[in-house]
Amino acid sequence: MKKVVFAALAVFLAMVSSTLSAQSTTLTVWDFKFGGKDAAALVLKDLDTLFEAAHPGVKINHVGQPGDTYYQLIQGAATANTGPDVAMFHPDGRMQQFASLLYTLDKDTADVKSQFVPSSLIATSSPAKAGGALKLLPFSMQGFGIYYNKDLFKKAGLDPSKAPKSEAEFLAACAKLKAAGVVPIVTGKDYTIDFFLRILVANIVGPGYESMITSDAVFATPEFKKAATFVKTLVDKGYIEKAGLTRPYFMDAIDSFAAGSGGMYIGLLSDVANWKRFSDTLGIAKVGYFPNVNLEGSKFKDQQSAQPAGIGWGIFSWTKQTKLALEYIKFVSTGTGAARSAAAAGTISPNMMIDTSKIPYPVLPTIIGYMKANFSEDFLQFGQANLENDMIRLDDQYFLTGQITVDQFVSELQKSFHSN
Amino acid sequence: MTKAKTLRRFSTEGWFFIAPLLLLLAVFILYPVVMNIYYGFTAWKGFGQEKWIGLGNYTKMVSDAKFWTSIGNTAILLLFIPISTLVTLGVAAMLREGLPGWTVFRSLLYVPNLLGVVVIGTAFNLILRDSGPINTFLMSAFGFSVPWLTSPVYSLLGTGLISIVWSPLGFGIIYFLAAMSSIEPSLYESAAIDGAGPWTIFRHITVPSIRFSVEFWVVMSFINVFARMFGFIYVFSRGGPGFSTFTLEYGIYELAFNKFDPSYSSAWSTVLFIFCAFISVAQIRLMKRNEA
Repeated sequence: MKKVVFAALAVFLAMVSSTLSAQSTTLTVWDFKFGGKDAAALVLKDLDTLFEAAHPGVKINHVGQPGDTYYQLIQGAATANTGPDVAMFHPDGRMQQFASLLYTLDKDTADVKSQFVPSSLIATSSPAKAGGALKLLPFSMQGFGIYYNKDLFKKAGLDPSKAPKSEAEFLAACAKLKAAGVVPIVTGKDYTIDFFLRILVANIVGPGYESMITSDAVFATPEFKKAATFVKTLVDKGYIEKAGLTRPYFMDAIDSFAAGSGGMYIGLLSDVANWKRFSDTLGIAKVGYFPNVNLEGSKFKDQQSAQPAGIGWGIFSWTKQTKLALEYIKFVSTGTGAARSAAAAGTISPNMMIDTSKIPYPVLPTIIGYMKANFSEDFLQFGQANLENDMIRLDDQYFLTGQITVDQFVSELQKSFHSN
Repeated sequence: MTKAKTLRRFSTEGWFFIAPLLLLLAVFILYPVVMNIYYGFTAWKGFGQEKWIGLGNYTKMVSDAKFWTSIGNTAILLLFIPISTLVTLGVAAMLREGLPGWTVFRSLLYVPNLLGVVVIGTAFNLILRDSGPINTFLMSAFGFSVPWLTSPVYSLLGTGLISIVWSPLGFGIIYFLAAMSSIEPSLYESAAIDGAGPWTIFRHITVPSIRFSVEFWVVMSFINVFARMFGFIYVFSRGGPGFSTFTLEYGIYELAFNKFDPSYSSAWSTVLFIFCAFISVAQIRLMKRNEA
């Protein structure tokens, strides 16, 4: 009798233990989007629910960290050599800094790698070149472009079906908008000018970004100087809304343009400040897009400044749940995960299996067309983590305060590019 | 029990009682300081193995324009200390005279002390930005606006006035009023009989009588400028526009957490530590002089 009782007890304990251990499987995920209330955050919440439903007993502990201190928190985790199992990264210098702590994905993602645009896999590797070790599974492509409000264009006497892509057309459009009492370019602190310069650089270097990063005088060229002078003209003439240059780009300036406060906006392509955000508020037929201003003398035209991978998902090598983490990052970056993100948040996925033809936003095919035809890789993704900070400070000094001349601006930028 | 034994017993007990504090100091002050100095001589990413590079970070520092800019900005901010001291002393002296409604003023002036630096920095960033309420009012009423946050001069001026002069004003007034309360009233009565005016009384009686308190205030203000302004600058101006409010302390943060170069940042921190150590030594000397 005693033996039967002990056996029953053992079976019972085993069942309880098995149930408890199944319930306690938690995968901790960090990113800088989850904490928001926008579409990108809602999609991630949705994907977690789907993943948990497909993996009984698994709990996703998704932590939405603040964007402006995200990499400091990652650095803190790295110093302590413990932290989340999975984390979202920008695959530029910010990811490269922590690459040694990330699990190499090549072997375990062989089944899905072919779904991704090849350049996105290079961008998420360390080093970021063919043959580098894959550290992130790309989640989005990113880029910069110019959105315009068709209603306000009409109000200013402009043809809303025709984007002002040449230098003369752009200046004329700004002048007409201003004359009509419309803010020509709605702005936000730091990033409006930062993104605009990255856009204009695309028309200078075209698809050959390698020449830029290996050259000794990328910024100290007449073309770049012309681009910088052009932006300065826009600031001086009041076309770039000066009052907006002290307002946060994320999210105040975005909200302002989305509310119809001005004619044009230097925005992004994926997730935030993008075609979906603006179309959903201004009306899907009311948003126009063009990728660049074709300055006189630029070697290339209509170049789309973009990053093959805007953000991606990586797995820390300290995790004890590598298999589950792999399943998670594949789930969110492929199939249902990628499709939902594209449809709901406006993510432009590097996953070639995602069919965007059924997403009913007229501006989207325009953007994808430019990305396919005139893709010019954003130079900043090849810089180290502090290059953008330096660039923003130099932008302030030249465009905002006038402390330095255009020659000093390009020369300092050049120095920073190489020292970073 | 002999005197020597008693002393030894008290000494043992003394060490026993201060041991927790010494332990805390060793763990949270001494160890980080020593490690910071050590990492300043290495190349280290904040994780993994560090590599000894000797004076590499220091030679890089002396040729780094950002370092000298940060020293320059910190030096300019130090110039606000005399303003802060005079204003605080002056207001305290006026309140001491018992202005009508002075208790209300004292309460109002103490308000900044109830707010954290982050709250103050964020509030002033919102108030002073180009599209903020002050500029909106100025533009609509007078047709002009002031580039509080977009001009290097105004930005640094704003940082100094808000963070060094205005923000500690309330505490300073209470501090100086407490010090002034210890001045013998007969000194003021004699001065009044001799026909001394308020300025003369302030200069020749009030200030000399509380000299030690003023010196202590100045020393604390130096430490505040060197090592406690980061929180305000981070939310108020992020060291900008450009590098105009980029201080030594802000540079340490930026190097460690934006450039991910903690070892170079440690070298900057060591310089800051040396500055603060000098100030502390000066403070100790002042205290000893006053005791003597």
